[in-house]
Amino acid sequence: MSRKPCLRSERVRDDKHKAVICQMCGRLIGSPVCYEFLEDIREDIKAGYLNVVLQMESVEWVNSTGVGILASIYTSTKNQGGAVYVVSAPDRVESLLQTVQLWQFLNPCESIEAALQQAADG
Amino acid sequence: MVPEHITAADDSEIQKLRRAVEELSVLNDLARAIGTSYEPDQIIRIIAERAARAVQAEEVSVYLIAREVGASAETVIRVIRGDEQTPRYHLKQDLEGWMHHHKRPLLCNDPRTDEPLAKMDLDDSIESLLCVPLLIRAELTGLLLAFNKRGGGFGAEDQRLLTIIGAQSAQVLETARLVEEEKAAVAIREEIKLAERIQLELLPQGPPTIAGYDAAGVSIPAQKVGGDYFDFIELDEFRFGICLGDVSGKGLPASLLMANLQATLRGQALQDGPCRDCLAWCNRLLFRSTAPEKFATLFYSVLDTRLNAMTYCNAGHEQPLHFCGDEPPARLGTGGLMVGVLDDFAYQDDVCLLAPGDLVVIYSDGVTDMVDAAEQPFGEDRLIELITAHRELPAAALIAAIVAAVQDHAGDVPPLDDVTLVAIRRLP
Repeated sequence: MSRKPCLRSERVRDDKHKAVICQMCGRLIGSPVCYEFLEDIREDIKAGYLNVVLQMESVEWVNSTGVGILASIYTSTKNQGGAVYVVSAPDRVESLLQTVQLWQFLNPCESIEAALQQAADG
Repeated sequence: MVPEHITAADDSEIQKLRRAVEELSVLNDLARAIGTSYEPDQIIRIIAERAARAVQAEEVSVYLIAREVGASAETVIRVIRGDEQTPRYHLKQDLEGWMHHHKRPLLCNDPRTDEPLAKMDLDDSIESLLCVPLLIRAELTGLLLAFNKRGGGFGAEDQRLLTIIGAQSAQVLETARLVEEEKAAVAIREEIKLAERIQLELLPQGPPTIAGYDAAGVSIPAQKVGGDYFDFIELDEFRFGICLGDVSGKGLPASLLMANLQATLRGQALQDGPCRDCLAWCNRLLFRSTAPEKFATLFYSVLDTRLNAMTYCNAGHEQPLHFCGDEPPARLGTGGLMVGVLDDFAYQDDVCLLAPGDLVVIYSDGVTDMVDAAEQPFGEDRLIELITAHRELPAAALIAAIVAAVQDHAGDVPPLDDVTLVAIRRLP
């Protein structure tokens, strides 16, 4: 069985909104790449980018470890007074996050601009 | 005194032959000595001792290089010299680096001026040095280092002899290393077997006896040990705690967390508080004892056989299915966030009334997420259809039918997650 590629991500820091914007693609699972992704985001949060915007439109799959990574990002932002904003999560991912009841904490948004606006509004 | 009929040329040949005999003697001695042991430390000590004697060095050290999968750089892990445990002379990283690059012997009788040692920060006490690589299929596995030739500098014959000793030793050390690795692997396998047995013993050993009800459960780990569990906890004559949990991750770490969660939940269940309080405590304890990315989804319910009511709290778990009459199944979703994510979370609970013949099926996502060769998941729709078709089977038989269908769906695709199911039916 061929394996789909693991997570690929690109992060951009937005000074104006104290936000880091992450374009995510692939599978958010328990692989080293995904843990590196988590560590990078934690570094961003420590550096003062308290709001994390996750563009998840191209995320194909999130497993239980991936849910843990999202939960960890959420607690890291919350502890620093920031928030997580999830943009365009696919239905399958949304359904999983609804099931584990994490969805209510992830501020779903339709676009990155809407997420940044929401972050600015506090 | 050389006899008159022996010329200088003959004398040179005799010296060469004598030297060759000595070399063979050294190698034979070495082969016999190391052939008696599979203990790497002992073998290394023998090699260092015999090599020091053969090239008349003050000290010979053997450096083995660790080969870790995924390591960006190899590191020296073991240094042993012949007659003492602690080497007097130390290899510098740059010499190891040079050997990695060149993989050939290095002889130097004036380390202060000769390249490449002149540029290296060597111990001042090193007067002369002879280093040969230990190679296995052209890969550097270690170094054999002779320090300070007694009565002068190292020569070409010393280099040749040490190179031969290095070549002989490399394969012997590799074999010893493999034996050592195999021993470690056997020890790990034994530990995993033990963990598997302990985990199996943590699960209910058979279906519970609940008056007026038929209940059963099963948990099949994807690996040797899993992160799922279920439990039936007898609270009193009429009430049973029934739970199913799924810890994030897989394998041994998940199983340890699972055992922790099970112990915590049992402790809280016996406090006899509402389900929501029970999970709130589990959440707090798990949050405080694990990393933020570690969590568990957990469904906990208390079945009261006098009221035929199941009070439940669902902490982010797949919503159990309640089959009542011919209606589509209701989902038991009230509860809150998975446990272990937030320090303080207010959970809610709800009550599900069970009429005669009603069936509740609690399952982990390993059931619905099991994929086939085309990566199509088994899915909730298929699960509901299957349960509907087998509604009248006893709980244990129903579970067996679901497991068989899920495994049939997967075919040869190895399971990615544990498969855990609990079924409770109120007898008609």
